[in-house]
Amino acid sequence: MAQSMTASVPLLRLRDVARRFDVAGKRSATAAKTAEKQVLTGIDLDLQPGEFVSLIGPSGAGKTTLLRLIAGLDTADRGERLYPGDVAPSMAMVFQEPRLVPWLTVLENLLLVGDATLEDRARRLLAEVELGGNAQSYPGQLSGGMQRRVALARALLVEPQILLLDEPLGSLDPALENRMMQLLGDYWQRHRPTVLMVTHDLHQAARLSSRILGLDPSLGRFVLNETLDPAQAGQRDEADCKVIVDHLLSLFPALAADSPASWGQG
Amino acid sequence: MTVSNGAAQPAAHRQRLLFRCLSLIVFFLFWQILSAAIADPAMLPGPLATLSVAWSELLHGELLYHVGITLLRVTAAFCGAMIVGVAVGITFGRLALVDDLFDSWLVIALNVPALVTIVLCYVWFGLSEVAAILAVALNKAPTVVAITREGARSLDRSLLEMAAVFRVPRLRVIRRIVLPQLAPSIMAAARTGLALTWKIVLVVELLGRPDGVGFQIRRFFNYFDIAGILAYTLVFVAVILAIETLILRPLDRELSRWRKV
Repeated sequence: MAQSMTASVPLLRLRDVARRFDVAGKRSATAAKTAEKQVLTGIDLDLQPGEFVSLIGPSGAGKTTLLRLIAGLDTADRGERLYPGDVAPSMAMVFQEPRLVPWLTVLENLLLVGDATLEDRARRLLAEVELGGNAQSYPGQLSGGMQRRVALARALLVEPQILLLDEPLGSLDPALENRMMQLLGDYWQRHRPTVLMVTHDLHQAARLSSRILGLDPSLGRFVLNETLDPAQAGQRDEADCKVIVDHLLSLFPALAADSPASWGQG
Repeated sequence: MTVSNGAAQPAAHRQRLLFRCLSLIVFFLFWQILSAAIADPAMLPGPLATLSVAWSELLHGELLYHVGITLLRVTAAFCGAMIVGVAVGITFGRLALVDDLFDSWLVIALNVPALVTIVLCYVWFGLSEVAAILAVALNKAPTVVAITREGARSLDRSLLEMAAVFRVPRLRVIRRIVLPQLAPSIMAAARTGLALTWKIVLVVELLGRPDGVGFQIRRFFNYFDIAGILAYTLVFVAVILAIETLILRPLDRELSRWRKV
């Protein structure tokens, strides 16, 4: 199951990708507008098979925009998205909102993206996200945190080559967030999918990642690219995380202003 | 709370049903009194007189035959208009270019009087069954397009994006994500459409068919037989009400079940 870690052909490559929005959030027709906001100016990124990359940066840095470009939900103004392996890798995504289909039950929501043969697996995953008893519930009957966990289970169900996570553990209570981080870390160690996780929580990034990228909002490109030991990804304890967080803050002080308090108290 | 809800719902439902029956009884009483108050009973026969005409038509086999024919025409025109109207409505709602280009066509189609479409169809295609059903469907379809378009415009983009990332097969997206969102619009189009369709079918039959409820009404009109006109009207209204109550409304409830949980 585990993919070769020595493989050097990236699953996905971005070259000089730029994307700008005007103030209304729409793509601007001309570059001459003064009000427009340049979100990404020149992104180069290689996603290697089996790495867990966290994308950090202050709000408005374009983290979600980058994720949407990779997912194919948005097109760049400039630059290329390439698949060096010649085939488009399979993808799954956990959006900031759960995006569950309200008229389908939890189980049906999972099977929507897979098929009926995955039912046993779907039920197992629901149990792993502590929703084993909610397979027949409708999303409207679940709390926000429960819905987010369904969305996580849905993404894991299809065993994607690239797993895109947009703040997957936001708005969970600390104990649950901790258990879900454990689940995500264990899953990654077992299956080694390529993960790109957007988060503003340095502690999450420090605990789970094998690589951390920092996106600077004023420059619109990466100012941080830290590689960590993949064997420890998902398994790091509080002390390890604290060291990494301090290191990140020393390299990229802009993060301090926007980060939640959770990483600082460890 | 869910417990009290579960107990309260059937009670409220029974009460609504009771009111509905009572109001119908009052209607028939009012009709009977009005007819008794009018000096010439032939001008407005009461419900009993009307029902007795309906009964005798039923015994002669006329009633079932003509009502059946009309129902077939309603069904054919209704299904044709719904299928074409929903498909075109989705296209209008999803493709801004189509909407921009053909919106004025839709406005024109919505405003052509039913009578004009009927007469033109009869002139162009002869006094045939095809012309009759086409005329009714053409009258009905623009309304279906307009209602479905509104539903298609408000499709939830975020769910379509989710399906795109997960590469959910196209057919499954339509069946599981798109159609359920359009269901309220399609049901609204169906329910308003059924009433509209049968009214237009009657005009079509009156103008150019040798059978059906519309044809019978013209015959009774020629003999100045108001009881006959009312008898056929009453029976057909009852048939449409039955379709609405026994098919469309339960279907609507089934489709919106998830909203109530």
